[in-house]
Amino acid sequence: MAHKGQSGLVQTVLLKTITALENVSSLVIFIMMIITFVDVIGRYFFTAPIFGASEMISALLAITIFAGLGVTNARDDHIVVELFDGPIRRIAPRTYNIIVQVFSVFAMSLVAYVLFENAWEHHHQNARTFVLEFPLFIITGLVALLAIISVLSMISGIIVHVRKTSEAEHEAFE
Amino acid sequence: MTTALIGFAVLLTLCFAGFRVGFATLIVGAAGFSLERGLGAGLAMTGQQIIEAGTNYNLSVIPLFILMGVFIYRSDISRDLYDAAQAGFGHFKGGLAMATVIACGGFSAVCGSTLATAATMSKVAMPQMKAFNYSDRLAAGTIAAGGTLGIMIPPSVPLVIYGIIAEQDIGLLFTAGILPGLMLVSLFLVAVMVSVRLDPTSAPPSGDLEPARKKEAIRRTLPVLLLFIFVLGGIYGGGFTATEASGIGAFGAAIIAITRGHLRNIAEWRRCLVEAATTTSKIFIVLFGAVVFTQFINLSGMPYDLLDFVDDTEMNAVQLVAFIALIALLMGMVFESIGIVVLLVPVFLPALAATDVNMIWFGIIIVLVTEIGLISPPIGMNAFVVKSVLPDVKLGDIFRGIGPYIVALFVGLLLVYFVPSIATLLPNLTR
Repeated sequence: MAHKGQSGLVQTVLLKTITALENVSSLVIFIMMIITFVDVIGRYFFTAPIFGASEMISALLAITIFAGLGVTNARDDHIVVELFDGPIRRIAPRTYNIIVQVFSVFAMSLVAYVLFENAWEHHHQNARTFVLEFPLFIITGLVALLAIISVLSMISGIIVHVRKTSEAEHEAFE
Repeated sequence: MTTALIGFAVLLTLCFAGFRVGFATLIVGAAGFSLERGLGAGLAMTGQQIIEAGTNYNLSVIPLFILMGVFIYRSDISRDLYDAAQAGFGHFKGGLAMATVIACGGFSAVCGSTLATAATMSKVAMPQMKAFNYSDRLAAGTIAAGGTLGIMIPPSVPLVIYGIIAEQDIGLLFTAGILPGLMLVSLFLVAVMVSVRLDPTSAPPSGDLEPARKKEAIRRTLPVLLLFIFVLGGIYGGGFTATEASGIGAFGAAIIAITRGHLRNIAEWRRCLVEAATTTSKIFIVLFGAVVFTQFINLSGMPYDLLDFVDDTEMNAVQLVAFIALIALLMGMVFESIGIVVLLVPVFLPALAATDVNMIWFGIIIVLVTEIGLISPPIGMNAFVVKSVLPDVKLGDIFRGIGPYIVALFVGLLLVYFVPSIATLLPNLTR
């Protein structure tokens, strides 16, 4: 019973995280579209492009990717070569799933770690963007934070999946 | 070279075992680099490569063109496109299959996803063809193959990624894709004619659309056609860059969707925007893995060993491209288009540069080869998508129906290979 309750809590947190990441990614990609469009119109029709538009778009691109990645990771919706995995999976489905998922968590943790290192370095160097002179660590730091959230959502996804599988197996046994 | 080959072997094993392609490539690349230069250097390189690719302004065309595609896809334009194509080709023998080719080409070009095209057209074109007793083989094969056309017709995501890796102008690559794309559409139409000639029972005569419906279909598809011409014309005429075109394209597609009665509430907007963002993230994780893996491959010296191999064997540019195309063809049976581009192109870059290969032409060749992979057994993703939407159709029938189109793609490949100006003519005119 306690397990079911904890599983429910993890699932609720996971769903809320996914919703939040979806909101962030959709808002950011929308702003990206508007900035690109307004910049082009401003440049060609009013000779007044948005100052530093390309830097804004670059930053928004990174945020779009990592916010979207959180959703993709939580749903485990990545590109996979589905050719020989079937027979391997059949040998020990649960172990196979855990190994594949742990590998993905490890890889994403590595991404989060190197991004965090980058943000730290940018902070120490007081690195700024060329045109807008915006502190780079805010962009890389935000991206690192999204990557960390992504790792946590992956782990939550695995916990929910494992508990659901165990519950299903338990019910089938009973 | 040995280290790189071990790296490739480990990567392929992980991919075949079902590990996520992006993560597998990233870990093998980072581990390989770290083994050669130490963990600190490996981690620093990984972070730097991810940040550089993730904030690359030129790569912002990917989410924006994907967004344009999602808006068009959600505008329910497929039915009108099919009707418009039927208005033009319905009266020919096998006319419905021809209309399917045209509608698939148009839809996949603007929506940007071969799989979405195959899935959508299965629902739109199949009932129509079934109503006129078209054989499952011809109907399903045409839909599966037709979906691949958009990979060449710009805007094309694999061409963008190729452009970034090979440091080629994306606008020129898009321009280069126009003629080969149109040529492939024509070859697919010929494939329909040949199929119908060989088996006349596969496509009984179908009725023509009534004039009012013809007019209505053409009127409703006109805005999409105009947007497409505006976006490509802008790039082709040098009016704006690919990134600018992608912003205009996405905005224009949103307007079209609104005028067609969609995107009228926040939930609909959110669904489209989230779809575009998550698709973008899926592509970028593969791209991150690829740029990290490329650093490892470069460090291992493999590209320069291959250059020596090309020198030793006195291979010329044309032979080298044939050699690479052959490898891509084999990879295409297992990997999807982006995977092939990111894994194969960096390895051969020095050899391609040394033999003075026209990189625009080479890009078109590689993308054309990946197009073949999308419908070739054993993976043939599009065939499986059609099967999932049309469970009553046998997979064997779909693959048999695809056969003539694979021949058409090979003919197209040979034409571009032996007549490079098919790919280079338009870019040369714009330069």
